[in-house]
Amino acid sequence: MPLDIKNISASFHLRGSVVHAVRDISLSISQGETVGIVGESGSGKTVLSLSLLRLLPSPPAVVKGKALFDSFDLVNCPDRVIRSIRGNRISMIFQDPLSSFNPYLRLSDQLTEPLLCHQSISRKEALQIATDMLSQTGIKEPHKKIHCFPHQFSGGMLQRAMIAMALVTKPGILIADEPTTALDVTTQAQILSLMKTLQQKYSMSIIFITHNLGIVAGFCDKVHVMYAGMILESAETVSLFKNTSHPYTKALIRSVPSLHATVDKLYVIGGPPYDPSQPLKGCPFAPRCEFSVAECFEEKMELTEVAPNHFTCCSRIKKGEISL
Amino acid sequence: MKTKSINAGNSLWREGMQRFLHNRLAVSGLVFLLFMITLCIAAPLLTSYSYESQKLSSGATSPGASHLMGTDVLGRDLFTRVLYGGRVSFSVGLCATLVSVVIGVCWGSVAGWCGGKVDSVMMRIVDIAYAFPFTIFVIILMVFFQRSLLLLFMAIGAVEWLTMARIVRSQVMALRHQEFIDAAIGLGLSHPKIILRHILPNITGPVIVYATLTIPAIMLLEAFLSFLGLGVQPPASSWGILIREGTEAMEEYPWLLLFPGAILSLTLFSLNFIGDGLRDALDPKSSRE
Amino acid sequence: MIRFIARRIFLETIPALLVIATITFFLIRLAPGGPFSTEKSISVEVLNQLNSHYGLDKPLLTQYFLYLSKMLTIDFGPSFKYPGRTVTELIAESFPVSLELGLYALIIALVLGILSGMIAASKPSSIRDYLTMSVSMTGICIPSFVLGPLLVLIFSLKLGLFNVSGWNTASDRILPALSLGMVYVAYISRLTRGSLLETMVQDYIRTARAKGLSEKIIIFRHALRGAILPVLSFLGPAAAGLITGSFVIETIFSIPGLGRFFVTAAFNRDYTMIMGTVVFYALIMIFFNTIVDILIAFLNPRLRSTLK
Repeated sequence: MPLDIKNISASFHLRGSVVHAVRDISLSISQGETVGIVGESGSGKTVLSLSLLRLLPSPPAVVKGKALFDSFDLVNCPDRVIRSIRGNRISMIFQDPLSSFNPYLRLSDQLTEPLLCHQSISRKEALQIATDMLSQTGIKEPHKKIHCFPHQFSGGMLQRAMIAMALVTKPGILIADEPTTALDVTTQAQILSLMKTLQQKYSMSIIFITHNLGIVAGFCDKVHVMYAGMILESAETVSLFKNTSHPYTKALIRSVPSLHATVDKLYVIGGPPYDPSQPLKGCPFAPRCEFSVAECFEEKMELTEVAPNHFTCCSRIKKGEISL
Repeated sequence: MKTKSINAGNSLWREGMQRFLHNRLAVSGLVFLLFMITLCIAAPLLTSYSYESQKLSSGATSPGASHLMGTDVLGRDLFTRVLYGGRVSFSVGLCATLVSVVIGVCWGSVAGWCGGKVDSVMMRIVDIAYAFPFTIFVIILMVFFQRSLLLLFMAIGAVEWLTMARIVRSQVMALRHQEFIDAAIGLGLSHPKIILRHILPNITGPVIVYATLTIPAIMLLEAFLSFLGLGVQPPASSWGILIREGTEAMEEYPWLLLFPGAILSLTLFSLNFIGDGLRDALDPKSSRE
Repeated sequence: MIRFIARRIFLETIPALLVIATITFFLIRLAPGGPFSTEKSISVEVLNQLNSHYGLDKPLLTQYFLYLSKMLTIDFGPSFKYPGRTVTELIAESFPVSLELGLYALIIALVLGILSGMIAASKPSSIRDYLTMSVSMTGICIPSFVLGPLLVLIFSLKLGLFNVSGWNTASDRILPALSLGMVYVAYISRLTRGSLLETMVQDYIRTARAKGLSEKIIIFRHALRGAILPVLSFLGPAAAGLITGSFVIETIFSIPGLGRFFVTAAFNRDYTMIMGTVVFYALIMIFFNTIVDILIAFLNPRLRSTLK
């Protein structure tokens, strides 16, 4: 089932000031697609993912826009509707598996919860399904291990358990918020390959949020690059790397140290990081961009197609003034 | 509390003061407390009655023009007795708190400074003592030995030092491992001097907060003991004694219970709000109880 | 588990009991006057006879060791003030009453406290929150010996709903239990609120929400588990306070419990009764604290693994 995100903005109203974490984002996910959302800390990518399932604390957070899924608008539908979708048709996994599990309950309790909550099946059946899913994520002796407490698992094992917990209800969409950031590189690779396998098996769509362009390259079909709460560039993965159409994306690519080249200094994107409490005019990346000119600080931001299925909001690229 | 209090000494207090003043409950508590204390100190000026002069002929009379809070069964003016009783209650509160602060700070500093085995033993004792009602020992003390006010101060103070010791110990431990202490040791300063000059000034914040919270606990304990007949002895009065007498006479003369009871409760209220306010003001990150 | 309990008994219980018994023994023996000094004029011969009858003429240390050895057989000796009755008898008679009172007070404190804490935490900084917390602050500031008489004044004397004192009918239990327990309602309520607020912002609560669970299930099944631990830890000092509180409540309401016996014994300088009660209380406290510690370890899976 596809997800259609239209003009979502999320802001936080704190004592006196308003912080705009997500500004007018639109994107869509098709059936079976893996969509990557890439950005640095503070780009708003996590806030975006949380607002899809309405997990932002509601008094300070205000979410506007639409997120069309099936016949529902996730942003504006009644509470009981969003609750029936969470963990059932759209599941989410988080960055730190150890803090994301309840330390006081056994994994069996936590993994069967989505099933018992959304489907009318017996405990026995639920346990069976959960154990089966756990074994599919690569945990050995799942019928024994499922009765353990979270602290008895390693980080990698716990992340597998979290994936199992998210998939017991065979959701159509999985939102993965930096699931491998807390893991070492080898485990990272294992988890990613596991996610790919399960995605194919259950024809799921995945929204993959990360700051790591390297992961995106091997994993995602489509990529959206976020900065300051806005999407600066969207493209299919190969196209993004081959025909990079935004200075920010180019800078991100250059920041990844290469095994092949020898450099004296690592490339660093200069300038101060973006301040979300300040009002925005023009391109948010302009202060730090090596290609910026006066117009960049005034232009209206709009994503325009510059190549098949490849969008950018950099006006200089659009006008053909520069090439990367 | 971070050790930045050393350099930002002034601004920490000033910031804290501002935060405190914003806390309406704490400020009203402070106002009431100062009001009560002033009344008690100014007692001789405010009432012409003596707290012991009895007027058996009139017996208990309800509150009126000549007796603001009425009189008790023996014809003694209640308002006077409340004020003089307040003097006793407040002075026990202050002195015994002083005793408990001294014991607690010494115990906590030594435990926190020495660490290791000494600390384990000292804190084990605190843990065991925390769970046992030491009030029992105070009762025994008060029954068997001279019922002097001094003994009362010391006994009560000896019951309430535990929390202070725990807090001081954790603060001292945190400071102990800071570099400036190593520097002081390196310079050859003796340990007691270091504790006195460098550590203690930096823990005044929490000490003041918990001292303020200890005062109501101590005043409560004194009232409790006096209620049982073990604390302050007649003819001196304390709020505990007044409440006891009020309880005995409350069927016909309810004001004898209500006035002292209300005054004691309001005072405890104020002290607790002030203590809470101080705690929030000086260390807003500490979890609200 | 067995090792844990055994270690508790030998390394903590017995030393603690010894210390408390010793302190009490020497405290009262060192006091001026003997147990009979408050009696009206007794001749010297009678006094000597009494002293030797109760073994008070032996050297202090001998008395001490004699006492300790008798204690092992739960023989606390005869009461000085009620000749013909042993201390053990008196304790056995009066403790169940205090136990009942204490239990009711504790149940009131836990139920009301946890409920009001949960109500306050469900909408922080709202009217609900300020109201519940202010009411609970009242509990802390109105001492039990003010609340007790106040309740009696209103409900027994003016409204005539309850007896003024005594421990006979079922309704006699209500006012004393309330007076004793209200203070703890306050503490438990504040503890629950604070602890719940801290727990509700944990990551695993967000995960629970992302699974589509209702707020009710999240609070009762996920949040309360962790949030309840500080309340449990508080039970130790609370029990100590309940014992102390019982002295005054049993006195006010004329309840024939151990607390009232202790206060009377103290006033009467009934040595054996005092010793017996103190040691007994110490035993109760240690037993209670051990149970609480086991419960806490049991509820915290990380500690539970170390227990095995």
